[in-house]
Amino acid sequence: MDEGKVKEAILHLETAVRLNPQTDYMHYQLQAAYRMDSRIQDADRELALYKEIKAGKREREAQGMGRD
Amino acid sequence: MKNRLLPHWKRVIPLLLLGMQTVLWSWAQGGHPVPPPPPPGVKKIKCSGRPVPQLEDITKKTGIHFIHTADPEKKYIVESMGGGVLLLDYDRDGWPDIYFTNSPTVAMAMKGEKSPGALYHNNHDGTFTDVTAKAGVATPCFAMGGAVGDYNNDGWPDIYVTCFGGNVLYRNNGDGTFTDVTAKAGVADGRWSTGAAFGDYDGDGFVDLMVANYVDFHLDDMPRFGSSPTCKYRGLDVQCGPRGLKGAGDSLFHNNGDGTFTDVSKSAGVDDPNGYYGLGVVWADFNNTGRPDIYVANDSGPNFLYRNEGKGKFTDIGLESGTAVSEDGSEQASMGVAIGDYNHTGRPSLMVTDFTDEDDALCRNDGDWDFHDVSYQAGVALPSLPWVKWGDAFVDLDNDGWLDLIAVSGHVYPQVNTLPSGGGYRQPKLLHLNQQDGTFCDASDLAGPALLERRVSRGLAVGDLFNDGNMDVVINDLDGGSHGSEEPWSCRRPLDQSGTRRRKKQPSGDRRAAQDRCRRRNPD
Repeated sequence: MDEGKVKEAILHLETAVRLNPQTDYMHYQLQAAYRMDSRIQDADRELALYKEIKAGKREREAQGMGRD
Repeated sequence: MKNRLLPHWKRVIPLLLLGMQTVLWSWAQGGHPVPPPPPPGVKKIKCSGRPVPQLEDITKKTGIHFIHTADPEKKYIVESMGGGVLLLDYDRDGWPDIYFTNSPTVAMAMKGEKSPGALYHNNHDGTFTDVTAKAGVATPCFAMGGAVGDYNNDGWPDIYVTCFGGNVLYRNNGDGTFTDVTAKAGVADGRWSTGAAFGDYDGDGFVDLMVANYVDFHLDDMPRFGSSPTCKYRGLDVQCGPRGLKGAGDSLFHNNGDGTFTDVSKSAGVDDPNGYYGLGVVWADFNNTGRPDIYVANDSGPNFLYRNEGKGKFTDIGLESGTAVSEDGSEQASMGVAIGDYNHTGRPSLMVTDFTDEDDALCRNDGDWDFHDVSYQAGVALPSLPWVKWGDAFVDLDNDGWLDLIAVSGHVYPQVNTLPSGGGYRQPKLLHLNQQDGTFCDASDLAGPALLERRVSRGLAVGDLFNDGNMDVVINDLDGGSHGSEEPWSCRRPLDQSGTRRRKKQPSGDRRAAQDRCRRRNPD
């Protein structure tokens, strides 16, 4: 993306997200690429997914790793 | 600037196909997830062929003997997080003075014992005098850090000390003394506060106060050392937290202009309802709107960039702007924050320090709320990986007109000294010199022995202590000095100025001459 190949990056990232839909950072990177490509609605959708997965992780951590 | 690195998606996708994402995000380090590896092909940029400012530890010459209280075992997280330092010209004589915060051990606090902070007056001759008792600022609280600002517009700088269990606002009386006005002002907060900063967000001419809070922690209900997975680090029993502990929200206090403040955290949208672990906080007008925005560094969570919308409202655009998490989307254990226009664009960029194995994050401000994590490209990431980094600053140490970067380090777990590998508990400091092309070169081991000496550093402040045109660095350390030194704080000053061709030809001679000049200015 830093080389300006944003559309190429988007294609790869969309594939990665399809293969790993629960991998939070893929969604983050895809939203960044969309945002760079001015696809703001798509970016916001991916960011929402990223936040959702992160929140789920945080909840699981809180349940499994509280104080004794 | 040509990117020397592979685009990030090219680095990550092959890892995904190998199914390594679960390895990257495993909990091998207890409470600290393993961060992604550095991008392939990245190389350190060492400084060469240029003058390097030399920094000397002049602590012993200054007459300052402050020692931060410390429990060597650090069984509780609250014992690892203190050590703030403030520079302020409290008597307006034109010379910066120094205030060190202090905090007791948990054992002391349980017995009601306190540890005094210290205010040192600048004597204008390279020495300082302890004026703490006269000033009345000795024992505000279980202190972490603080901020300086003239909250009542009387022209005298006031001190706000952040604390575990209740912050303190000292009004500067203008006669060398301070008065605790916390109760009247209404800014105690009462939680475990860490970072604080003054800024006038509504343009009414009175500075408001943003306070970052860390963990919901209570001396009568402390998690036991080594007692759960978040109290382990590389197989060792260590203090618990912050992961696994409940966080504390943040506070924004609006200055009413009459000596009182109103807590507007919630209505302004900066109260942090998720309770992330707040540490560093700064105000800066990131998009040249004329209204200051807020940036909060959170430990083990996404950082906040609160855009000032006007009319007392803020919106967190950390994730959208690229300043909340690392370039690849991982949350980092962020601690220190520095702001500076290091690339002369007219826009302030961000430098955020992070935990060991996490790179310090340089977020380049490209305007219109668009930031890019250029840490590896800019050369500041790789040298930072081994260390736990805390206070940092953009500061022009070689007087070439371009901001350099300095950061101090020190682990939180003394127990790491028993590990066969890793950076150890005491750690050196980082110095990156600006190459004036968007990159920095690493001068950490070229600036003299002071930066190489391993310590447990926390707070850092920069300023021209001696009015000689050279920026100086003041650091508050925990656990005393290394190598038998008893000075757990240190003042380091550059001994020479770069940018002259003469020095490039005769570096050794010039350095000696500069040292001589420094000695004359700072007699023992």
